[in-house]
Amino acid sequence: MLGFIIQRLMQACVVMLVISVLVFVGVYAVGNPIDVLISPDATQLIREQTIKAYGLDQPLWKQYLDFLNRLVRGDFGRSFVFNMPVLELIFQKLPATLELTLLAVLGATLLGVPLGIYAGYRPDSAASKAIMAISILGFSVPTFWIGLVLIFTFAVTLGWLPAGSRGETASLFGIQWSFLTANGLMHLFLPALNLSLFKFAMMVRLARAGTRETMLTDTVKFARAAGLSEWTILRRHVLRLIAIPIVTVFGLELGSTLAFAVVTETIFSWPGIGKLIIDSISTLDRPVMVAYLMLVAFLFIVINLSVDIAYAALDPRLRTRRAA
Amino acid sequence: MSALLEVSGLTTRFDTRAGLLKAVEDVSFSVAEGEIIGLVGESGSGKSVTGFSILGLVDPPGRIVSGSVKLNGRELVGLGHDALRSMRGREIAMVFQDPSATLNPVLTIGRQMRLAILAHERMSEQAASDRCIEVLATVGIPDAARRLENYPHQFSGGMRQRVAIAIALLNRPKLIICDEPTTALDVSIQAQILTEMKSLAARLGTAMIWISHDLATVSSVASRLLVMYAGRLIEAGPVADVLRSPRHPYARGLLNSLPGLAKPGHDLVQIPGSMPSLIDMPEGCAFRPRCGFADAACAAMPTLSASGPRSVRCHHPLGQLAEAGAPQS
Amino acid sequence: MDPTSPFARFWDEFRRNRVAVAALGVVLAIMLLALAAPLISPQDPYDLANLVLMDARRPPGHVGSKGFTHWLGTDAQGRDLLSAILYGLRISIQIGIIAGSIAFVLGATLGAFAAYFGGRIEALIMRIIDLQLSFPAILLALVLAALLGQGKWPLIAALVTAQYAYFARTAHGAASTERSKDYVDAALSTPLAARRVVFRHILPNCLPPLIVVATVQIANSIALEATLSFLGLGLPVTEPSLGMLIANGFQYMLSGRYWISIYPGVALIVLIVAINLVGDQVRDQINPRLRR
Repeated sequence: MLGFIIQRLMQACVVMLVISVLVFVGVYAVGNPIDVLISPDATQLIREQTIKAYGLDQPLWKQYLDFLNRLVRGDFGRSFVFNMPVLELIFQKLPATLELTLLAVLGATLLGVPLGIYAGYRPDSAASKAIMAISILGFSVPTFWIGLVLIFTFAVTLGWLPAGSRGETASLFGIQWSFLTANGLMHLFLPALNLSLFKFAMMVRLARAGTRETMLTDTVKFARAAGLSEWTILRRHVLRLIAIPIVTVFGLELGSTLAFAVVTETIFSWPGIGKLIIDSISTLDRPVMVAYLMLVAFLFIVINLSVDIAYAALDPRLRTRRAA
Repeated sequence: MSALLEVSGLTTRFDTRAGLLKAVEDVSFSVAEGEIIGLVGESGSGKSVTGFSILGLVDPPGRIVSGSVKLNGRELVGLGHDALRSMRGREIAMVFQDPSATLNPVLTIGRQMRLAILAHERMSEQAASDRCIEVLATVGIPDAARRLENYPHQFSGGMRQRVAIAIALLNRPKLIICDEPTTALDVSIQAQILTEMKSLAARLGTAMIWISHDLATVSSVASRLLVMYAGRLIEAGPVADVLRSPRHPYARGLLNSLPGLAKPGHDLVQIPGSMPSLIDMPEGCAFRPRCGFADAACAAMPTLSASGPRSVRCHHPLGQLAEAGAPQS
Repeated sequence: MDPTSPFARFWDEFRRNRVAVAALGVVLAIMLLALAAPLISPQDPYDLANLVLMDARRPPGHVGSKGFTHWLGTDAQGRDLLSAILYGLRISIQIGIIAGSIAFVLGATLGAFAAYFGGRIEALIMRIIDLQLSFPAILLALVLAALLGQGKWPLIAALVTAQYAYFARTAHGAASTERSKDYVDAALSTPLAARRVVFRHILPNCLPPLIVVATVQIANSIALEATLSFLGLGLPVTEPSLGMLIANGFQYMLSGRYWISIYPGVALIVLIVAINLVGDQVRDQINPRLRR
């Protein structure tokens, strides 16, 4: 197992390196690095100073090494709009997105998987058909539309919940989180619901498909012949077997959910990194865009690595093959 | 000896989109304690479905339409869900054909075996593991204690089937239904498992229904032979007798077509034609289109007539049965 | 039609699911409407000269200054919403199909290519595909749309880039499986040219899973395009797609003028859900593991 993890870690590092090269080439060689690093309304003096500081008059390969150097130190430059170091800016906004995404993902999985298993176990029941109908909606209807409808129904028409922005925060481990206050939770509910629906639908469909297929296998038939109760079969055999595709998709969709937070945050004016990137695109705040790309790439690699490891942990057949 | 299992008039049908599939029609037989009977037939003859029907494992759109299955006098058809479940694995167990499909690849065999024990008895995990080790040793798996924590893919094909057999034996069932248990194995392993199972059954006093299409394997294990064709029982009797002088033309054709009996230099003997579709069955004897001895009388379905330990479903049985015997069912 | 041909059998089973058939009907109806948009809409919403500001933000049923009824009301620029929706559907379907088709051809070719050549080329291509697949489509599309600017073709390019990987991976998987099957070796041992074997034997067997992916991706394309337009990154303001219409109407929703966002939204949802329902039925039928 250890050899497997190390091998994967090294692969991840290589990928990060490749991405850093891609971003570097895209921004510094193809694009105009001056535009990326220096705000268009900077004075000539500051321009020259920045060129010197970032070595923009140096040969390309040296610039790349400087770039890597800065990356490792966490220096992504300064945001044009906010005039503060980009990394600091991102970390400031990150908790908002994290709590939104985690709440959405947890809710979607904890609710979606059991419902999906039930729908797959009794595919012809009325409840199962209802679950599938809701999941089709969550799956096909674009997130922004659901957000709109949610705001219209709960905020405008019924007036039960606020229409946007983050609520009050409380401190935990030195970071401000809004799920720790009642007001914060009220503000968190609708955006989290919005974000979770797509993933919920996906989990339901996956669990249902997996359960349906597994129930038809000889494994289940043999277990029934041995006298195992249906509940035991579902819990011990089916769940374990469908866990593999579910965990894989969970990991992939985690990243996707983080990305979709962009839409939800825009609609609900949620001050997270999703809204940050959209605003940056429209204001052409390029240092933020670059940093966001690298950060997201890093996050994805971490997620992929975790999924790979979890995959090997769940499917024993993979362990012996990889270690060999 | 009273019958352990009494099957009478069992009829199982499948309501498919293409039509009503008559998989098992009016099948009756009995199994005594400790007896090994062989259920032979080609693919589609209904032998596997018969096995599933006994355990109540027929999946929809199939269902047992009529008939009865009595275990020690207790009726199993129509039994409630819980009662059926507690009977399965404990009084009647089943072994399937392909152990790589029946064993869950992501669970250790120890876990799977313990689940089978704990489904019927409450005991500590240690006690359950102890029993597992004991049974694994019985079926010939060395170093059982360590191998409990192995996964199915870490065993060879033959060993996997032994594990499946061990699971079947865990709760000391009185009857084991074996559905083609050696078909998926290497020929060399087949012979091994065959002899082992036969001696196991004798030692533990377990009865067996051995389902197979392979006459050779069945005849080395069973004491009585039941031949099925197109969902019906067409011949039954002691193994040696049936093999020596089959009464039903189909059984005779089956035996003649065994490659082992082929005369060198001559073409292999075949039964012409193929089994009729179970959805669109013709009137009368199902074997009629392929039978060399058929005539007008065969337009009516023959009844199963018995003479001593032998019975045959035919209007023109080969051999002495033509004179004696009263219709049985 | 030959009753035993695969298509006939497929259609027979498809017909039994009434919901799927209804959905198919809806999809076809919408496509017809979209095709006929220039003929049946009361107003050309792209022609800025047609728009009268006085007619802006009028509720459904209002009779405009040009004399015809705005059945679904007007938007902030005075566009007749019914016309805008019809044209918007047109653009959405157009883009969905074009992007989906290009992604299909590109991805399938790449995947089959990789499987055919094998070795290092295959490993390299598939690694890149895997990498790209771990990035969510929306992020990819977002970045590309930001880089390439607004417009129909940059949008299509962004959508294709976000989607071709699914086709590539599916095609590669199917082609690899087929390549290792005995019938291919048998065919290759005959005097038939390798290319003929690939096209006549391997490719047809790869089609079912590719069709499954295609049904998912067309709906995804449309949803993705709408999302990008909603975020302001898709089509230009002069050619409003449904996403942009919804975005424009968002602010008015809070003040009660719901129709500007809701009606385009409903049209979009109906289209996507219908396509997904049809796709679901197609998928269920093609999945061999659900056959009893």
